[in-house]
Amino acid sequence: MSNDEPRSTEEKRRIRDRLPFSRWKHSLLERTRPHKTLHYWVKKAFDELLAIRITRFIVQLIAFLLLFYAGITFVLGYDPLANTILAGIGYLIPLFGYIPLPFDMPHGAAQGTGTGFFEIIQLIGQAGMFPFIALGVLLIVPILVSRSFCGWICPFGFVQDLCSLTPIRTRYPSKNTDKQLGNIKYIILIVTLFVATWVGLWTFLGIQQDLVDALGPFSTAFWSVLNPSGTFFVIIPYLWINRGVLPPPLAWTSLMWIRLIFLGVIIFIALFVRRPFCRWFCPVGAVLGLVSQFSFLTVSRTATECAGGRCDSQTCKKACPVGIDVMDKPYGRIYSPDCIMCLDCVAKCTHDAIKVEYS
Amino acid sequence: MNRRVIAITLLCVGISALAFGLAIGQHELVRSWLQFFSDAYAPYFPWPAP
Repeated sequence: MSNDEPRSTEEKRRIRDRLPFSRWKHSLLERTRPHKTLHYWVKKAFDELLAIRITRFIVQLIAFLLLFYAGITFVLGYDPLANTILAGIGYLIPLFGYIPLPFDMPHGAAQGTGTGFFEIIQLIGQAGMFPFIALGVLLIVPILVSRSFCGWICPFGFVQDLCSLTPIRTRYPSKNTDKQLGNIKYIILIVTLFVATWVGLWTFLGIQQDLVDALGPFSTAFWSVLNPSGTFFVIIPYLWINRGVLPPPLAWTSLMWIRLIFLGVIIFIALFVRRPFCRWFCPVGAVLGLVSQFSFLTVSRTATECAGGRCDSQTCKKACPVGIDVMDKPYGRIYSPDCIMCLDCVAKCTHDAIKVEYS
Repeated sequence: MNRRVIAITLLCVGISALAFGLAIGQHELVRSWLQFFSDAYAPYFPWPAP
């Protein structure tokens, strides 16, 4: 190797270790670090107990069981004992029924235990009222824990994560494509809030009838009638259990076919692109992402530990399920409206340069 | 403006909105929506609701 060629990180480490006392000096440096930060405890817990991805998968699975406990008995088959136990869990968490949840959870899901706040914003807004509780959830949760609920609890996010476990090779869309497609969720958010406000205002004034007739099914909840999460957790179970017959509130219209095709496209893309719905279409994630820029919970990148800016392993970028180019972000606090706080980049960073902070 | 100042302001607004919503009983409305859909679909999903 000539002197001009750049050395690999592994080779640099071997050279450093050959220097006298380097290991001893390194251990001294390690000991002088402030140990009692949040990042230290999180990293220690995950390093010593379970990998972050496994922990997240378990949390997602438990959340899924709690949110769709009756749906699980439906899949497993009717079992009085299991149904009683799961219904008991439902009794233990009645709060879910009263407080909107900070992620995309459809109303009317097969005996689901809660409703997402965005559904409530649409339903209460279009009933001519102001959604105070939903606004409270929208502001409190992302400020306290950023978009952690998207990464750790959201049932449709979990479904997409399951799709990405298939052996099909993961594809990474170009930065420009990702950015352009990412704008779709903001368009959906603006249109939905506009329709909810418009219908709500007309309802409040008592002149809504013509507008409701013109909008048809979109007048009740604009996004909910297209939401693939709703299709997956509401339509599919009813179709399955009733062998293709839909309950009267729903019907085999062209809109239903559009819903099913939209869901099929999302699931198909999720097989080789991680979390496509969250990245490009989810208006819930869009609004949570906007508020989360002020969050106390953050992820930050340290210049000195990021191999002095010369790390080119791209592990953090490849680990990110929503395609954030972590290396492209400035040092210090990393903010992206798409970050779902999955902490995969923290776990995968070989230099321990990405840290969790609460400030 | 400082991020923390905005965060604390938004947090206060959020807590106030949540408290006001609970005070005027909007959580019962949320529950009633859930119950409405649960009742509407109950005959098509034969297992008991909690």
